[in-house]
Amino acid sequence: MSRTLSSPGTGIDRRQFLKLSAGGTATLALLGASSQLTGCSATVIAAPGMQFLTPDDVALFTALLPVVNGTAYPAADAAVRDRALQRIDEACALLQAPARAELRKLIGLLHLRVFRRLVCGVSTGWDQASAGELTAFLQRWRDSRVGLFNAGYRALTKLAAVGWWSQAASWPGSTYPGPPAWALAALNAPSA
Amino acid sequence: MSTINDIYADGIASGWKLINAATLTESRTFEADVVIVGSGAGGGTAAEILVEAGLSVLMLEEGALYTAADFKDMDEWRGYTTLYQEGGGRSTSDGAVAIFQGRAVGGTTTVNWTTSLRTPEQTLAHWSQAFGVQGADMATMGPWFERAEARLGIAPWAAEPNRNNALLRDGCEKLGWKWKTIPRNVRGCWNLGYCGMGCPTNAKQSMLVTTIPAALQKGMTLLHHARVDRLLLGPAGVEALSISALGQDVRTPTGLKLTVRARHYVLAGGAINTPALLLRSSAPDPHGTLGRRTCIHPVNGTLALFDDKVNGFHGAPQSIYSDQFLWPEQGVGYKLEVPPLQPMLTTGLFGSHGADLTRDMARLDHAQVNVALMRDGFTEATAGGRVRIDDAGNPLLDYEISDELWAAFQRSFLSMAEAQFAAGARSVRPGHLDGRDYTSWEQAREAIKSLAMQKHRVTLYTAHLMGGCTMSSDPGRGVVDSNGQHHQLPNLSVLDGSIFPTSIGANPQLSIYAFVGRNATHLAQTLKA
Repeated sequence: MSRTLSSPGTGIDRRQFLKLSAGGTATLALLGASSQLTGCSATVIAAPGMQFLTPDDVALFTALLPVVNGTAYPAADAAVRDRALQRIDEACALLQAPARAELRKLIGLLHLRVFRRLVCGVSTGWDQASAGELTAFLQRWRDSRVGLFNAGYRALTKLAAVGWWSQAASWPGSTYPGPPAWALAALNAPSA
Repeated sequence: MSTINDIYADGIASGWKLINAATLTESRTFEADVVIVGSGAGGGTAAEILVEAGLSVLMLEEGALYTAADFKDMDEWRGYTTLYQEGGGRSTSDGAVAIFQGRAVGGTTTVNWTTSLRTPEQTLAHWSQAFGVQGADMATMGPWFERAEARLGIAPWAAEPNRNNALLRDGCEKLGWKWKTIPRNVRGCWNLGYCGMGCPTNAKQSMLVTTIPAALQKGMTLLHHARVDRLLLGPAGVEALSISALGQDVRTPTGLKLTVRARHYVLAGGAINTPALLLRSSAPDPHGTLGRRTCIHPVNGTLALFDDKVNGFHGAPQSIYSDQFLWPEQGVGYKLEVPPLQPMLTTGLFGSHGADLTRDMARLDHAQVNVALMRDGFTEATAGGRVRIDDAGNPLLDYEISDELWAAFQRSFLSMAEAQFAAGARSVRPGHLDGRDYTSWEQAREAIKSLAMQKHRVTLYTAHLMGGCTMSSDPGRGVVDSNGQHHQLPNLSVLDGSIFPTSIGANPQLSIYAFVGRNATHLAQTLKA
């Protein structure tokens, strides 16, 4: 899969975004208004086989996995992707209700077209966004001086990173040899 | 041939009373002399003492029972998702501090990194002076530390530290800083490095393999998959516990309600869940102290790269510490240690994505990480956080970081980086979104001084939860007295880390063992009288 960074294209440019961030009040007002909107939205229904992630969330994390994890992530490997998505779903589902609600609020905002365009700089749906747009989005939230965006960056990248780097398939990419082979052999040998 | 005894399979075969609440189909009322809510450092220690005094004891645990047989894969994903609160994803209410806290039989002792240090004398003196804690002097506490050390095989790590630890030692040595070898609660340790995933060899002397089996052997009943919803209060104190049975997923209530009646009630759910249970139960709190002063030893870290491999994912995770900066004349002090460096845990420290994260992870075998644990709770400006509950009774931890604490984080970034360069690092990066791989101490020093010290930009963790049910002889300042006895509810004691008036200034498990050992012995005498 090609990983060339295309320019953000139709999204708002970096200067506009920084202006928005600098005028933090406007952004926060938008956040507040939008979270009320999501609060009124219809019941959130998990995708088949998932406990927390909706079909839209699956599309979001499918798009984020290669962008967060970089070339170490085998984007063409469907089994790796499916396991990563299952693990992201499990990680969300294991949170207690207050943290789950906060996460739902954040992800709900990412699915609002106006928020995605103005605050994330992504003009299409997540599944349509280019690697360049997604990378620029992460970088903006990372570099923002608004703590809420940093928190959003931390939450999204942590989930996507855990989905991949918890898998044994990732070990060659992290120079991690796994648990010592001699110990695994000794511990898992059938009892005499 | 596998050489690890399956303590629990053997015990169940010999008639231990273990009940998985998920398997119950009818409402039941349990009765005992003492019920203990929680099975971690506090609950486990109390259980053995109370059972040995001849009392009938029921232990409740919200999490599941996992044993060494379940830990043989040494897998991070399995470990975090089954053995930790919220699958390892717990954090402060604003998401700024990641919280690592156990949730299984054995509590955090099942997953901690085995560091077993006594409460510092300065901390004990502060508790005596500022909180009127009685019998907290070293002369009184000494025998209780010795008792726990003997019971749990606590001794300084005799093997060579792994290189992640050795480099902290080398850096301190070069700079003339104090350092010491960490005492660990292990017997026959294989030096593998997976303490955080549950010890696969039963070497770690956690509550899971020591006090709880001993208490079960003497007739204690252990009910797991059991969440205590509330204490039912009456004129004489606690009248019963109301419990929800959890399903096999250890999360979803089955709908079955259980009741426990006991002469005496012991809370040992740790510094988040114990105050939350009291809050859910509308326990008397006439002075507004409940859930306050929650201290967490908030942790920041620096990541160094060395030319030679470090392989910090293998070997005893913590064997060296430095108290060079723990008791400064001005400001908040901090302790220096290192964490284990398995990949899933380490990803969070980088705060990077894309090509940067791929590159960062590709150098994991050359990485060495120092962490600094802030000694919070000793000044007004660092008086800890607050546990509260939401409308549904779920616990939340609010934790604000004062300028005084931020200043200490900034100083600790400097100390950690200086030690790493002294040990020969080729680069050092502070755990901060603006951190870069600085290639000299001078460059790092200048850059660290200009880092914006803000939540979410600094990578922050805690693995130590303390306070929320402050111990004080003065009912105006604490929830419980010096014996852990609740000031308003006569048949209720708190025997866990939530009684500490401040943070410890050392990893807390041995402090919990010692104070609970003392207070549970006192309780046993009172109940037998």
